[in-house]
Amino acid sequence: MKHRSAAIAGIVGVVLVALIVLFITAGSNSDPLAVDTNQLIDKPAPDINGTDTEGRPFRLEDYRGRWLLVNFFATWCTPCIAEHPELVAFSEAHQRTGDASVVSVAFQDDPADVADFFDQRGGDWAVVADGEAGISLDYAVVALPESYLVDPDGTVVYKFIGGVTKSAIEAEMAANS
Amino acid sequence: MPNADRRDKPVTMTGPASRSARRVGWALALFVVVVLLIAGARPRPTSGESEDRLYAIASDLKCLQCAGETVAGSQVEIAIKMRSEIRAQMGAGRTDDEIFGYFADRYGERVLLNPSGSGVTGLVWVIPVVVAGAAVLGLGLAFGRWRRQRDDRVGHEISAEDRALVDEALRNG
Amino acid sequence: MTVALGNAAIILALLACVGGVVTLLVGLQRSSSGLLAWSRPLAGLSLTGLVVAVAAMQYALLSNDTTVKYVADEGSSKTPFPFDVATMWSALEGSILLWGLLLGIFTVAVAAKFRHRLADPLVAWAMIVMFTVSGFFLTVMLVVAPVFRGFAPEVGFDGSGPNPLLQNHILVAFHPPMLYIGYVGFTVPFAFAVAALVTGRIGEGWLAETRRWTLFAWGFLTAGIVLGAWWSYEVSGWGGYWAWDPIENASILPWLTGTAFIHSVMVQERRGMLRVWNLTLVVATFSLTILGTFLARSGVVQSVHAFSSGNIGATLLGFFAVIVLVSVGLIGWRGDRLRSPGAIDSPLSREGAFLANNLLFAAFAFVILLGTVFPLIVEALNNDRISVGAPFFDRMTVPIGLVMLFLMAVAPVLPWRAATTELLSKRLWWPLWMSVAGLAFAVIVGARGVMPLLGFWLAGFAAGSVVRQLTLATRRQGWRGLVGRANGGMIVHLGVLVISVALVASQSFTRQGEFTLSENETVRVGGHSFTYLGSRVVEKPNRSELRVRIQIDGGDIYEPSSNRYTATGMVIPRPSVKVTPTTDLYLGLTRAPTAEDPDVKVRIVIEPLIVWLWIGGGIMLVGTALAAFPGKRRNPLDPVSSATGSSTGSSDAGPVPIPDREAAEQRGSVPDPEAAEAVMVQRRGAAGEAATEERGSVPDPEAAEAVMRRIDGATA
Repeated sequence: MKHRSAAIAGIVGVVLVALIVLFITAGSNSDPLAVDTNQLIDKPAPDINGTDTEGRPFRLEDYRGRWLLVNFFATWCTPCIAEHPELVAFSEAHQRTGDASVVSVAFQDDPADVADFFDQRGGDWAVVADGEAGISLDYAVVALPESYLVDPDGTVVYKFIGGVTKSAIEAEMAANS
Repeated sequence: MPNADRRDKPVTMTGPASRSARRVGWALALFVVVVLLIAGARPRPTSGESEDRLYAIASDLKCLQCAGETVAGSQVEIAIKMRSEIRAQMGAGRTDDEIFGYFADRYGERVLLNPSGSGVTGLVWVIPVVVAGAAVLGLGLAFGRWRRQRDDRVGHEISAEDRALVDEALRNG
Repeated sequence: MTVALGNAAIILALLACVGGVVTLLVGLQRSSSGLLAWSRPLAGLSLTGLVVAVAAMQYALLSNDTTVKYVADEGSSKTPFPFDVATMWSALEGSILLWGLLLGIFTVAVAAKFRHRLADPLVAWAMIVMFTVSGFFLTVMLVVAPVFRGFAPEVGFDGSGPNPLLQNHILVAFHPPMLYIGYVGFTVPFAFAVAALVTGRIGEGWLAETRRWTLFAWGFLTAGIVLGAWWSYEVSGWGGYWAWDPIENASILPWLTGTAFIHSVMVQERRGMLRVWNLTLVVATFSLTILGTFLARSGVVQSVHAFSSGNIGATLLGFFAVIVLVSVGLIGWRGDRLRSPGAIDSPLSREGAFLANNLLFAAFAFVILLGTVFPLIVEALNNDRISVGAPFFDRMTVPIGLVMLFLMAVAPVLPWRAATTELLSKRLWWPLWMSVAGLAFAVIVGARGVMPLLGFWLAGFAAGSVVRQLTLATRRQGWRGLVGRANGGMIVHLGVLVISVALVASQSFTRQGEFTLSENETVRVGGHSFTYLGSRVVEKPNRSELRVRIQIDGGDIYEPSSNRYTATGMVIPRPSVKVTPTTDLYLGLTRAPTAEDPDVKVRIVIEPLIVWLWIGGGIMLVGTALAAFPGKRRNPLDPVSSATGSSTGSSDAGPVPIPDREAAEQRGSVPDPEAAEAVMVQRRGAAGEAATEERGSVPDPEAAEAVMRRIDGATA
C-alpha cells in the first residue's frame, strides 16, 4: 500500500508540475482584440461588393497595380474619428504619386451620416457601405477600426488592428515591396 | 429504552408484498414510461415568430471581440452583424454546417465553439471517454479484488489478543 | 495616513500569523500546552489587524479618499451606496483583502470553538495550517498585489468608479462575499485533514469535528453560485444564466468536489472506508478554490470576470502547487494507515452508491476542468487558439447529470452492506409511480423531446424517493423528521431536483427572437404579444438611462434600457423581465432608437420555469440549515440508544440482531439514524484509534468485521 500510494503521489506530482510549467510558458493575458491575423495574410483580397456614396458599384480590379488600404470604420466609433486625419494625410500624399489609395467601408451607417462625416473631416476616396453585404465578415473584421493593406498584385499583406498612422502604413508598404 | 418512536402502527412505504404483483407493477410502470417518452418525442407546432434556429447556430459561434461570450449573447456590433448574416443565410436555405463553414473560412477554427473532431482539438472529446473507460475498468478490478480478499479471509483464525482488544473496546463504548 | 495605517494593520496581522505558526510549532515540539494556548490570542490579533485594514479601506472608499491608489483607480465620488462599499471587491487587490478578512474570521472562530482543546495536537496543527494560509494571503496583500499604495491626485481628480458592469445590479454586493465565504470556509476542513494526516489520527474524529463547518462553507458556496447565476441572468441581455465561462467553471469545480465530500464522509463515519477518497476530495476542494482564484486573477483565460495585473498569477499558481504537493505527499506518507477495515461487499448498497457518487462527481469536475484548461494547453503546445464552449460542456455533462438523477432516486432507499433487487423493487414502488405521474403531467402540459422528458422522468423518480424518505421520517418522529443530516439532506435534494427541472425546461423550451419595431407596432412570440410604445430618458447621478417602453399582452409595461455611465462613457444594456411562476418574459434592448431612426430593435426571450431556479436554490439553503440542526442531543457522538442517565453513553444496550430495518421500524424499536451512526462512530472511533495508535495498523479485519456485524445488527 505504501508503495502504491507513493507511486500515485509521484504521478500526481509530475502531472501537476508539467501543467504548471505549461501555464507559465503559455504567456500572460491575451488581449481579446489581438487575434491572430493569419487568415487573410498572403491571400487574394476578398471582393468588395457594394456601391460607393455616389451610387456607382465599387470594383476592386480598378485598384490593381496600386497599393490599397481597405479601412473599416463607423461614424460613431471614436478611434475611427481619431485615425481619420492620418488617413487623409496618407491619401493626399499618395494621390500625388499615384501609388496608393484608400477605400473606406462603413460598417453600419446611414449614407447621410457617412456623407456628413466626410464633409466635416475631409477625405476624398471611395466609401462603400457594408450594410447587409457581408464585406466586414469576408474580411474577418472583429472590431473597429481595422484596416487591411493590399499590395499592387491584389494580395493582402498586413492587417492593422486599431487606428492606423500614415507612417505605419508606409512602413508596411516598404517592408512588403 | 429507545425513546424515539411513540407510534404503534407499522410505518412503511413499500410496494405490494407479493413478488409477482410487484413484478407486474414494475413492468407496467416502465411500459407506460416508454410509451410516454415515445408519445412525447415528436415536436409540437409552435406559435408566433421566433428565431430559435438562429440562436442555436449563434450560440455555437464565439464572439471574438468579447471576453468569453457567444455571438448569440453578445451585443457588440460585430455580433449583431454576424446574427444578421446568419439570418440572411438561413433565409437563403443554407444548412447549419454551411453556415459554420462560412464563418470558419473567414475567422478560423477559433470562432467555432464546438471544437471539431480532428487533430489536437479532437482530443478534448476523446479524453473524457478514455478516462471514463479507465474508471469503469478500475472499479471492476477493485470489486474483483475485494471479493477475492473476502474469500481469502474466510476461515482465518481470530487470535485471543484481537478478541480481547475488541471486547475491551465494546465494554468501554 | 490611511495608506500607512492600512499597511501597518496588514503587517500586524502578518506578524501575528507568523508568530502563531512559530509558537505552535515550538509548543508542539515541547508539548507545552501553555505555548499552544497562544493560538487563540494570536488569531484574535491577526483578525484585529485585518479588521482595521478593511475599515481603513472602507473609510477611504466611502469618503472617496483618492490619496489611496485603489480608491483613485476604482472609486468615484458619484458611485452610489452600496456600490461604493462593494467597490472593495470589484478589483483584484480589494478582493484579496476580503479573502484575508474572511480567513481571519474563520481562524478566530476555530480557535474559539476548540478553545478547550488547543493543546490537542490535532487542533494545533489545524491552527498552524490556517495561520499559514492566512500568512500567504497577507503577504500577497502586502507585496505581490499591494492593497494600500499611495497616490498623488491632481486637484479636482475624481476616479471613474468601478466597472459599470459592477454597478448595474445590487447583487454585486452579495454574490462575491457569499462565494468567498464558501471558498474560505473550506480552509477549515482542509486544515483539519492536514492535521489528521500529520498527527496520524486519521480515524473519523476530524470528520465529525468539522462536519458543520463543511456544511456551512458548502451552503454559502451554493448560495454564491446561485446568486451569480441570477445576477448573470438579470444583466446578460439575452436571458442566459450560465455560459460555461471559465470563472463560472472555476466556482463550480470546488462545489462539485465539496458535494462529493459531504456525501462520501458518511461512508467513512459508518464503516471507516473511502478514507483516501475523502482526504483527496477535501484537498481537491480547497486546492480548486485556489486554482479558481488563479484562473480569475491571472488573466490566463478570457472571461467577463477576469481582471488582474502583475505577478499574482504566478504567485497563486505556486501556492496551488505547494498545497497539492504537500497534501499528496502527506497522503502518500500515511498510506499504510489509510487502509480501511472493510471492503464494499456489494455494488448494490449504500456504500456502493456513494462510491458511484464520488466517481460521477469526479467525472463531472474532470470534464469541466478539461474543457476550461484545454485551450490553454493547446495554445501552449502549438500556438493554436481554439475555443471550447457550451456545446462541449453540454454534451459531456448532460449524460452525467442524468445518471446522477437516477442515483438520487435509488441511493436514499439502499441499505448499507447489501441489497437485493426485491428490496429495491419494494422500496422504489411509490417513487416509481410518482415519476410516471410526473412524466404524464409533463407530456400533458406539452413538453416534447426525448431528452427533456427523460430528465423530467428521472427527476420525478428522485423526487419520489425524497418524498418517501421524508414521509417515513415525519411519521416516525413528527417535526423532527425534517431536521438532522439525513432529512435536511433530502430537502436539499428536493432543491436540486427543482433546479434540475427548471434547467431542463429552460434549456429545451426557450423561444426567442430579435425584432425591429416601430412605434405602436406589435409582435407575437411564443403565445404573447409585445407592443412598442415609445421611449424616455431618465437621469441618475452616475448614468443616463434610455428606457424603451414595451407593453406585454396589453397589460403591464416593461422598460428595458440602455445605460450610459457618465464617468467612462460605457454603455451597458439593462434588460427587463416579467416573472411569472411558469415563464419569464425577458426583454433586452439591442439597438436603441435615435433621432434619425426611431425604430427600436428588441430581443425577446420566452424562458419557462426560470423562477424555479432561484426557488430551488432557496430550498437547498433551507435544507442545509435543517441538516445542520442539532439532533436531540448536543454532541453528535453521544449515543441515544443507551440507558437514560448516561450522557456519554455506556454499553448497556446489548446488541440485538434484527435482520430487516423496516421490520424494526414496524416494531418501533429503532433509534433514529443519527443516533445509530453516532454509536457506530464512537465505538469504532475508540476501537479504531486505540488500535491504530498502538499497532499503527488496523486490528484483525475478520474480528473487526464480526464486531461490526453485531453492532450493525443492533442498530440496523
